[in-house]
Amino acid sequence: MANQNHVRIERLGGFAGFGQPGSHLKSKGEILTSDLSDADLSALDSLFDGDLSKDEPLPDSFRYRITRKSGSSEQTIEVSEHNVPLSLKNAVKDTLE
Amino acid sequence: MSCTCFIVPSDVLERLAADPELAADLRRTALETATISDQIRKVRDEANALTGVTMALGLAPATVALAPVVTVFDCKHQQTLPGTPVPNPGSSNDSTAERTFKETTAVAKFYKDVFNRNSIDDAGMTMLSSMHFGLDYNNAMWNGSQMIYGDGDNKIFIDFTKADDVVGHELTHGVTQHTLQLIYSGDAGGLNESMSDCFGSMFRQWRANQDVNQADWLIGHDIMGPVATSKGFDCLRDMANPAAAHCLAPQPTKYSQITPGMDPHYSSGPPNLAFYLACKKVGGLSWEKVGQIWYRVLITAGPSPNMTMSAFAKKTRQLAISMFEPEPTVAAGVDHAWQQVGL
Repeated sequence: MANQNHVRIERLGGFAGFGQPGSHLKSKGEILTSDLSDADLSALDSLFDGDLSKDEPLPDSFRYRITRKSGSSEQTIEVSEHNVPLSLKNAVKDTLE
Repeated sequence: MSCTCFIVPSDVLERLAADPELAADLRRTALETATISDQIRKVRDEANALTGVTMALGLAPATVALAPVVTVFDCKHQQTLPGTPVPNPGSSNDSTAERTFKETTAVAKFYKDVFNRNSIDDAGMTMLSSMHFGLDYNNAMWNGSQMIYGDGDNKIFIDFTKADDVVGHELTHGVTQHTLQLIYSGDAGGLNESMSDCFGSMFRQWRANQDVNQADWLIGHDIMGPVATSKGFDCLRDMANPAAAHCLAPQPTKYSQITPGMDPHYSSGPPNLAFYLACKKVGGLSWEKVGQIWYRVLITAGPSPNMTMSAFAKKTRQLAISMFEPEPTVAAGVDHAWQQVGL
């Protein structure tokens, strides 16, 4: 299971192109692993441990860059929207910078 | 467990379903979700595979209707697809439902009248749209078999169905899936996005009967929310000036600026600009000449999932010559446009 740490989430892409170079659209958030349900925590572990080579994005769907700290190391993955638990998706806030 | 509606990998769901530490209702829902998700994935994969096989064999799909049926579903701010069917969406009291139906029907007419194409697959495929997707959802997309529209957060964006170019953009992703089958990364990803912007913009111009000088060439102008407009942004992208400061998501203008791993919405800048420049050089109505060349590449090149921008440019140059032999200014305009973006 994941440590009781922060998980940073950034939403990218979509029709509007969130987070791309020069884009004024950002979508970021954080969530504590202690705030995740057992099911979502398990799903998160599986995303970090799983094979993402077949994780193909759909046109205009979002991608999520998820970073979690495990011990002294930090791990980051990028996954398609349809693979991300709803609680993590709901943790981001869209902003205009 | 509430209905979480996302497609978690099957192995995760199966593991949850078998986890003795989870409550019985959690395990049951995980198993049900795994079963449904697996079937959805299979349907999507099979649909894509079938499209590829029939195209590789040179077989046209059987025509299911002379004109597509247009259906609208209401997600009621959840993320379950497709949602609840909306009866008689064309006369619905829900303005989003009515608009989704009318805009989608208009896109079908655009493809039929301008390109003689019968729906997304050229065989009368039903055009299915789900609206009110998610809560404050700032996006619209094509998921391989249907369109999905969010309502926006009413700050940065408003209802995504309010822009005709957005509806044309999403449906064109379906057309690309059934023609070139471009993947969604690298050069092909940028081309995939550009096809949707080009045909989305053409649809917007066709509806307003605008020539290339009257058109605004903006993508997403009609979905800008009050926060975006108050800061001086009037579009997502500007095909005439992809790097412009008034765009929420400015893009590169030269092919040399594209690097591996770029988001397709970013790398579509150069081909978008090339299409605009070609249309301006040729003049008149975008869909009558340059649009016909772009469409001809879509339907004649065959499945080309990894097509490069250079290969696409080459095909448009060849077709501009063969399709408009008596008008050498068309080929000259297309050639000039690609040269301007470094292709």
